[in-house]
Amino acid sequence: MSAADPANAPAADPAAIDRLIHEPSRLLIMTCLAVVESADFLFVQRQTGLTAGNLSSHMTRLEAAGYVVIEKSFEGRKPKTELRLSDDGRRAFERYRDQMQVMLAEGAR
Amino acid sequence: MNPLEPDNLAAAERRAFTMKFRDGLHDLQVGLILLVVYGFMGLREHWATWWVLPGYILLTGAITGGFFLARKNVARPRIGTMKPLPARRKRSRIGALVLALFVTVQALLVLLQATGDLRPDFERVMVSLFASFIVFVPMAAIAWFSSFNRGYLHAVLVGVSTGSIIAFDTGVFFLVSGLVILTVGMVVLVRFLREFPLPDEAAGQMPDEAAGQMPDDAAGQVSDETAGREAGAFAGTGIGPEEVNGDR
Repeated sequence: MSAADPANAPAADPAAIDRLIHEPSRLLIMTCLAVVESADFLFVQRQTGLTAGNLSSHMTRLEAAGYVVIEKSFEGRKPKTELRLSDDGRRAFERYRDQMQVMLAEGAR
Repeated sequence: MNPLEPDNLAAAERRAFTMKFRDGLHDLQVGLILLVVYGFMGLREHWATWWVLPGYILLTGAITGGFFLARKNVARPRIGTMKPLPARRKRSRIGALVLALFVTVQALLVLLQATGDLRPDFERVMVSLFASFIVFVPMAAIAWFSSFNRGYLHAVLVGVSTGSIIAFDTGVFFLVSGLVILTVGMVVLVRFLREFPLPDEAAGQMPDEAAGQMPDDAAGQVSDETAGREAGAFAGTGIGPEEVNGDR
């Protein structure tokens, strides 16, 4: 997904790392949503292994940051929650990956 | 696994997409259809009677219908659903096109033979190899395009079974293949049911889903530290646990 070459990229500023994504559980969620167009709540829960309350809390934060779109609807009489990364979320995830790759490459030198 | 690596992200995508094959239902469907084929081969002397073909279509239709019902009522409530990325959907469409192309070729060959325009006079072994080939290739292509590893086993078994009809004039390979695939499907299904029990009413949904509302921040709030611990052994690895996500 990322075409950046960490070896030739400028050194990343640790302060510029997106802390919202950097948190392990949210990184799991972002990774899970980055590889699909959209998924329902249960699918993300199964993929990440997080509890419903925990996942919900992180989703709220990611949604507040504009990284995730949460759409609630009904399938028959059953409520359904559809989750997907927003365009901003995908860009932020790509940026985060690039920055981390640069940092890891710097650290390895 | 590190989500920073493009290859690993591709693997994560593959695992997410192949989650739908982890229920073993597709194996059960293919296995049952092979057994039906074997059963109808045993009715060879009745092939000309009117009820054989409709009966075959009805049975395979019922199996396929049962497969969709089971996926809807057994698998989805346990693992949820997802919509793949456009690139994956395109790949699936190409797979379907390859399958359609080969099915058309197979239908044409059958038609030409039935009308007498095609009378293969080459060796029986060559014909059986050719039959195996035109069955194996589309099934293997579908397995490849859908990243479904057990699909290669299906392709080999069904290909060999098809060729064996011509080479040995017996349908027993369909029986063996059907039983093998059925057994694999059952084992996979049992493992799936154990690994993914039905979640509690609320567990698979946002906590106050019943109200159709997002939870209050305070209600569902947990600290980052707690969240990291709840993620368990794979917290910080950047990707889900293998036992949850593994492509089997």
